[in-house]
Amino acid sequence: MLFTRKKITTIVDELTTFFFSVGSNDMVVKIKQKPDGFHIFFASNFDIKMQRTVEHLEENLTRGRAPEIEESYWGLNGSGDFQDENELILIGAMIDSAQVEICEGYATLNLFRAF
Amino acid sequence: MIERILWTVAIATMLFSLLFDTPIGIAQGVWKIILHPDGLITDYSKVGGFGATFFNSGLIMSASIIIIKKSHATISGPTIACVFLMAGFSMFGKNIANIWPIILGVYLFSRHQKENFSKYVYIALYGTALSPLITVVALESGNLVQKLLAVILCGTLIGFLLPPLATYCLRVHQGYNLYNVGFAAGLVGTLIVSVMKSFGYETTSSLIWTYENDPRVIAYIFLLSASLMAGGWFMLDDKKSIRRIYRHSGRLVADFIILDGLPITLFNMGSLGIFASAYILITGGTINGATMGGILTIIGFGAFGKHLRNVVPVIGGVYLGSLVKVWNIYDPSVQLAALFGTALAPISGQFGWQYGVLVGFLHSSMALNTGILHGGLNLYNNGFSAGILALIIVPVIETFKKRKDHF
Repeated sequence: MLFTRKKITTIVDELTTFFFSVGSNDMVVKIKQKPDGFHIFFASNFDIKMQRTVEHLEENLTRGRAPEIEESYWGLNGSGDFQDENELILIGAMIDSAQVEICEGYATLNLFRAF
Repeated sequence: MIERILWTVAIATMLFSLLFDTPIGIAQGVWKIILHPDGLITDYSKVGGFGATFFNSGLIMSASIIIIKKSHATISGPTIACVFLMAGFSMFGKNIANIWPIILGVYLFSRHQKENFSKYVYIALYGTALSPLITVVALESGNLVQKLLAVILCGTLIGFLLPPLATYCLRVHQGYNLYNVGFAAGLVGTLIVSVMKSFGYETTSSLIWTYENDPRVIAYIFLLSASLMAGGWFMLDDKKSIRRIYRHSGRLVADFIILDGLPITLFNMGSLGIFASAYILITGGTINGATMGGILTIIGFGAFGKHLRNVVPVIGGVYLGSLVKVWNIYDPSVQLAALFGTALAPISGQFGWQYGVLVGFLHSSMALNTGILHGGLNLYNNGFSAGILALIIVPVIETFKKRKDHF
């Protein structure tokens, strides 16, 4: 598996960029490497006016892993400002599962990426 | 469903070839195409006739679908873009003989990295942009064994260089050049051709171009586009939702199938095909193998980043440029620059139409001067120049654009 750790950092980078774009000023990241893969915990506040944008997160993160998209485009993660929801598709293509909880201006994400 | 659509187009394209030639004539035409050097610009319709061109295109389209399917890749927007691009470039540079060494090279790279080939399937197919290099190597080598060894070596070299470079190139243009592998292939082509030149190889530019419009060819491209549009329209319950697609910038990775669904995507692909074909005809151009390659590529990327809102300003910029520059809008290279310049459509979609016009204006100048670097052996010359242009333009726009967020 090439650049596995680098890919994890780009996922976190893209999520950080996304939450900055929706008004976050308080984020928590926790990454745990286990025998089956990487578990990423990400929690952040956001501007309540951006609720609808944040609600798209789960939809885009749970589309299933797509190795061919990952390998072709993972280098894009974290590049530039967050502009479009389609940028989250790339994270979705790089993870095996995602649990997203959103309530009152706060989002909690549990992502898993198998080796 | 997507797979069925792709197969229908591939088989229809092969059957369409029978309108131009007999099966024997087609076979002879394909043979001529295989033996002919493929550097830019080599319109296969002039080399082997339209019958062989359509057959070669349908054949490579079928091969691409099989390769993607066998690799167990997800069939979605990028698949459509890739398969249509392969079909398009099989009308002016890729043929059933010269694509395999590069695909084999990327396959060997995946084995070397102990990775599944499915991860690199798109890079392998897009990487066939350098197929003319394979033809040159084959033609320059001695006997059959030497030819085989030389093309396998060359394909392997390209296959090992392209995947890491393509990933790196993305960071350079930040996804604003839709033909990313074209950018990477341009760099690899420049390197290889420079080394070849230092050993005495001389590059020659060629312009093999069909100047006459054939009503059957025009009918094919309009029929294909109209069918896609109609298919999308009738599958769609809420007709007004078609406009949804225009909200996307188109920057990589804009998979319209995932974002807006198949019906809207099909409608978008068809409308782009009609627009691009009409543009070529209205500006006095020709629908031949090369321009059809451009139109099919635009149609394909109608599932992966392009729509009328982000494409029209770029083509408009190329058109405006031709009014004040030293060439005509109907010159072969300028026709291709207009069609393939839409690689920069995400700049228009993201920053506004005026930037789209600007990059279109600049792109035609760039594209007409980058070919010399790789000796015309990178078929995605416009993708190469678009990458360089995006690298220059995007940081400047991002620095000077008005920001709500000053951080």
